[in-house]
Amino acid sequence: MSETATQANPGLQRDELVQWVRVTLVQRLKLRIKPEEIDENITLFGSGLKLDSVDAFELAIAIESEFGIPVADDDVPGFGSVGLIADFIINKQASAAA
Amino acid sequence: MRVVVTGMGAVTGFGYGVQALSDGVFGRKSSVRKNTLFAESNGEPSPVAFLENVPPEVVSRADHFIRTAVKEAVDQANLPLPLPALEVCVASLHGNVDVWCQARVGGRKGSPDLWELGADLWPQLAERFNVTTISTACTASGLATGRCLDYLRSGVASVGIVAATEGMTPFLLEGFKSLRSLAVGNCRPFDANRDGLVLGEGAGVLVLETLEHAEARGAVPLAELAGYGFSSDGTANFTSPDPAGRGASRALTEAMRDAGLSGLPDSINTHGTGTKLNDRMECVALRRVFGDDVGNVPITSCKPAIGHTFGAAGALELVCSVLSMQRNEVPAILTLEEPDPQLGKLDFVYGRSRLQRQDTIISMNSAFGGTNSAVVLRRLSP
Amino acid sequence: MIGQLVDTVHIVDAPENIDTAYAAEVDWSQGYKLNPDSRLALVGVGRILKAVGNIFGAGGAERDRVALVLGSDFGSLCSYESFFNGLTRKVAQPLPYTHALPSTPTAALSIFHELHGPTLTVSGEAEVGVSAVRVAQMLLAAGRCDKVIVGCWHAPSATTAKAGLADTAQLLLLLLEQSNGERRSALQPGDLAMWSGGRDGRTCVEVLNEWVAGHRQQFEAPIRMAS
Repeated sequence: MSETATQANPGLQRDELVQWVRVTLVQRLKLRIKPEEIDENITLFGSGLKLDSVDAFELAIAIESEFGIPVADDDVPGFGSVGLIADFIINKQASAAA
Repeated sequence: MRVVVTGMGAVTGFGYGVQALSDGVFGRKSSVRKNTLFAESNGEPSPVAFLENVPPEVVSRADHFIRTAVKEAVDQANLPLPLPALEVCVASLHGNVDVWCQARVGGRKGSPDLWELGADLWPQLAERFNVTTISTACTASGLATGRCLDYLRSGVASVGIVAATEGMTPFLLEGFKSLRSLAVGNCRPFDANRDGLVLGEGAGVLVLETLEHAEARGAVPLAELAGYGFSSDGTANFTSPDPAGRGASRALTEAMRDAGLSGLPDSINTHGTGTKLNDRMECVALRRVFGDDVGNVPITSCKPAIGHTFGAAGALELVCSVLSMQRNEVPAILTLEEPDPQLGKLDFVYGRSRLQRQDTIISMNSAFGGTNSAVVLRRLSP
Repeated sequence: MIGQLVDTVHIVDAPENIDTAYAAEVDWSQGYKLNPDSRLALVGVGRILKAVGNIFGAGGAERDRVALVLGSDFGSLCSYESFFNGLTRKVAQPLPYTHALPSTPTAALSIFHELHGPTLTVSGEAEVGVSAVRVAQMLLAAGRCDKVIVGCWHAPSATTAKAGLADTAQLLLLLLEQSNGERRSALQPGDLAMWSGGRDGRTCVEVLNEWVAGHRQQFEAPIRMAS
């Protein structure tokens, strides 16, 4: 998903964001699965996909550079699933627009 | 075969030389301040322990630092040059990465090479020499010290140099910023409110000799390098230590056995980086090895004074430990205000330094990837 | 020379074939993030263990007595390049930075095999493999370990391409062991590996391979350090 697309459509639909998170996880973290294999609700850290803190920071950087949303250290524990991350982005975009 | 330290050299955020380091650490100062070396990718300039006034013609800081520190150490040791044989153990995390980065931008091959650290120094010092460069992250110079100790004990050479160096580069700083592991202000080892690392740069050099060789030429040893230990955690994460401290315990135990040390040391110079995980792990490891008696051993960390100098950390912290032994003084952990109660009752030195004679000191380091080193220093004369 | 040479593993292959071998031979679901250097090292060590048996798999004390010494002249450069490329776009990516260390392959091996003994990474120029062997020999001679897997690797990167080096992934590992032998009170320089030559366009693996071929026979009379 290009920067131009997200800037032109700041209120991206949730399912598009969910897809962006899935694709980003696979590409940035080099997961050997297909994006569509990542269930929206599967646990990402600790169990489930068993990602770790470095993966979390990598994801944070991706969100910051794609959407221009700063991700604080306190936000990172909330990245429990693909769905929760998509909701985080939506909420941040909504507060920025408000 | 006993091995002793006969010369030391240092470069730190306090400037060039062991004296500058000593004045800083024992003068209760910190060389950590806002980065003015280069612009950062975002946010405020980070607190960093760096040298100002490095000559502008210097292309690689790590190579530059190792040269000045080796010269200082060799001069202090007053070695009879050229030596017939010399064992050199170099340590660094990223070597000449600043040159590598510049070459990538400029499109030309850089010089010196990534791992060419002080390369032309050694032929000036000895007819026959061997150089090993250790790059096991933050335990590199603890390990280099241990390797040099073994080489000298084995008889392949009577003189060795441990030369550890690290330059402050955007590569290093942006990397740790991306890992969100930097403290907001200075690092606060063992403090209840500690929040991360502070980066530093510099070089630490030790000239080592067999005691026999030193005595034969009338050199005055500064301290004995009595033993060392090294281990791996073998646990599941690149960036976090084994919370049970088993790897660090093994390194400590091996170092003490190697040194013939059966009781408590007189002080411990910890890795003490100021991160939640490292500091807790070290305390767990100390308790594993020494039991509750470790509560009687003064504990310090130099990192609030000179930052985390990565490849140079072990060597610089050993230099500080030799100074501690010479001064009969354990330096205070500069930024410690409220020891974390979760770490248990330990004798952290803070507020003011502890005037105390130390006959044995243990210096510890741990690294990304789960390696751990421990070095035992011993006073030579009563 | 110090050490009994028990076995060797030598890999020279296209990087994509190493990835295929990694997927087939290394059963580590969490290892997906590893850089090419680490994947190459895991394949290589896996093969040497397959040849000699799992020397890491023994009980606690024995596991502590196995060491690992790996060297490279351009270690983990892919990760360095990846992180640096991000920096030029003003994006500092934590994952490539975590692996931008020459010690990443030994760290990966340490984690995967749960190693407890000495695990060292040696850096340098074309001689780095021989340098690693010398370090390994000293570990044996000083009684720091009883067995050591030692060698060097070459993972192609933009930096190695610019240096005109081979674009194959290469690795050479030796398994050296402590041998019961005559005790001596001191080592002579000839007891430890030595090499002084020019690079001549060779990778560190090609240099080590040539050195091993020329010195293999000298491993047969191991000497142990007197304590």
